[in-house]
Order: sequence, then C-alpha cells, then structure tokens
Amino acid sequence: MVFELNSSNSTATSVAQLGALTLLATSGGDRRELHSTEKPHQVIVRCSLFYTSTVSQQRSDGELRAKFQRLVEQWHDERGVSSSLTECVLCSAYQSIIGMGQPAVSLLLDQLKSEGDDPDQWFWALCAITGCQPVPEEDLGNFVKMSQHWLDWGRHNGYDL
Amino acid sequence: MGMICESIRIRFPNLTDTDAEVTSPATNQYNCIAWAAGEDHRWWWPDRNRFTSYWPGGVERTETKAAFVQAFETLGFVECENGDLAQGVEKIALFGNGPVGSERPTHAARQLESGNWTSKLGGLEDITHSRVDDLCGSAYGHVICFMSRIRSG
Repeated sequence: MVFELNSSNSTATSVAQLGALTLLATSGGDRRELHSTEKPHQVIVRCSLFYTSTVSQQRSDGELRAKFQRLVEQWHDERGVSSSLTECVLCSAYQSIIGMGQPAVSLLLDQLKSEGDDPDQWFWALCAITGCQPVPEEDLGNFVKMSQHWLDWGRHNGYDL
Repeated sequence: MGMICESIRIRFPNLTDTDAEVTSPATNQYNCIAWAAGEDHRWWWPDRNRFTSYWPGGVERTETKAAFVQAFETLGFVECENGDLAQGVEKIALFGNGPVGSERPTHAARQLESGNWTSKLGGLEDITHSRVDDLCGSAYGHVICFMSRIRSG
C-alpha cells in the first residue's frame, strides 16, 4: 500500500486527538511507503501521526532554540561585570536554561562550539543537567580545555556536533 | 587601548575617561581573581561543586574573605595596611559586599608599578584605573583588604 502524505490532510486533526497511539514509522519525509497487514485506516492514522509529530517536533525545536538564545542574551545582561560564579549561575536567565532540562544539553553544546576559542560559562549548567563532569581537576577554570572536554563528551554521547 | 564604554561607566560611576581606560578585549578566559594573581588563561573561583573554576589546592572552596586571602597567600601575598604605592612591592586589593566581618568577596584589583590599578571586569575587558576606589559601589562593594608581596622581575 502506498500512502500520500499531505500537510492539509484532515486526518491530522483527528490524529491530534489520538495521543496515546504509538508511532511505528522510523524516518520522516513527505512521501512514505508503508507495508502493513493492518487495515488501511489504521496505517493512515499512524502514518499521519508520525507526520504531524515530526512537524510539531521541528516547530518545537525551533521555539526551544529561540527561547535559549533569548535567555543567553538576557544572561549576558544580568551577569554584567560579575566574576562570581555563584552570582552568574543564580541569574534568572541561567536558572531558566537549567530549567529547560535535557533538551538544553544539545543547545548548550552547540553554544559552546559556536563560541570557539572564547567559550563562556556553560559548564555549570551542563554538569547540573547531565550529572556528569568530564573535565579533569587539572583543567578546571581553563574554559578552552573545558569546552573541548564537553564537546568530546557530547560526541561520545551521541550529540551531533 | 580604548575609552571606557557606557555599559561599564553605568556600573562604575566613579570612573572617568581621564583616569581609566580599557586595556584588553573582552574575554571569558580569565576573571579578576586570576588577573590579580597574574594569570590570563583560567577562571579562579571557589565553586564548591568543582563544576567550573580553578581554585588553589588546599584552600577551602568558600566565598569568604579568609578563603580568598588564603588563595593569594599561596602566591606569596600577605595582608597589608593599605594600597599606597611602595617601591618593589606588588599589591592587590580585595573587594567585597556585605556586613563588616562577613563580607562576600566580589573582585580583586592589582596595582601596577606606575601606581595605577588593573582590573578584569568579569567576562568583559581589563581596565586600568588610577584609584582603587574607582570601582567601589553597588557592583563590587568596597575594599575589604589589601595584600602585598615582593614584586618579581
């Protein structure tokens, strides 16, 4: 059976109400070929659910990234001239980033990577969220080396960097 | 290197263009404590969790005057009376906020041979300023102690 997926498919509305369904599809795309012994309407429902889920996820990722960037800018303003790590991480924007939880990890790692040879203090947030500390004691405080350790950690743990 | 920008001037109203200037680009690679200690490649702070910062071994990781004084003592500094310029002597000033006797350290500045002071402003630039009190105010509080050691070189 071949099903044509269409974003205007009215099935999307009804699928949105079927949140308990488990996804069967494993990859995205506008056109998908599914083989199934299930009744056609079941496959359509599941296929459409996958499609709407993918679109929703992309929108959600974009919103999350935009929120993260707003918080980064806000944090730069809030911390001002402070050298105090405590003051820096207690800023509301920094706490909000930590509050984003696991989804913030890839954003923090991307941020570190984008900052190149002048990485900022994202290590506290990464430690707090992941519970990991890949930086050896002798490299603490050296943000360039710390960034390298965290990016290595990210690659080792499946983050696309 | 440059004039004090507006964002710095707002935080330190005592600074003026005639007695202060920016002496480095902004960077996160070191902070004021490292800069006062003569380093420019790592961030010094006594973070208890060991998540981020360097702190000298054997010194308590607490945000107290005593811990900061001990940290500078590992480099040969000892507490002294004032920040007056003295030939062959290098001085630093430790700033803090809070009630007398339990101030929480916020900043350190280092005296240059000229008598001017150099400060790294968090993750921003280094500046030189002619008076140590130029940085007193709401951001860094006030000077809570001076320390000195024999100037090397």
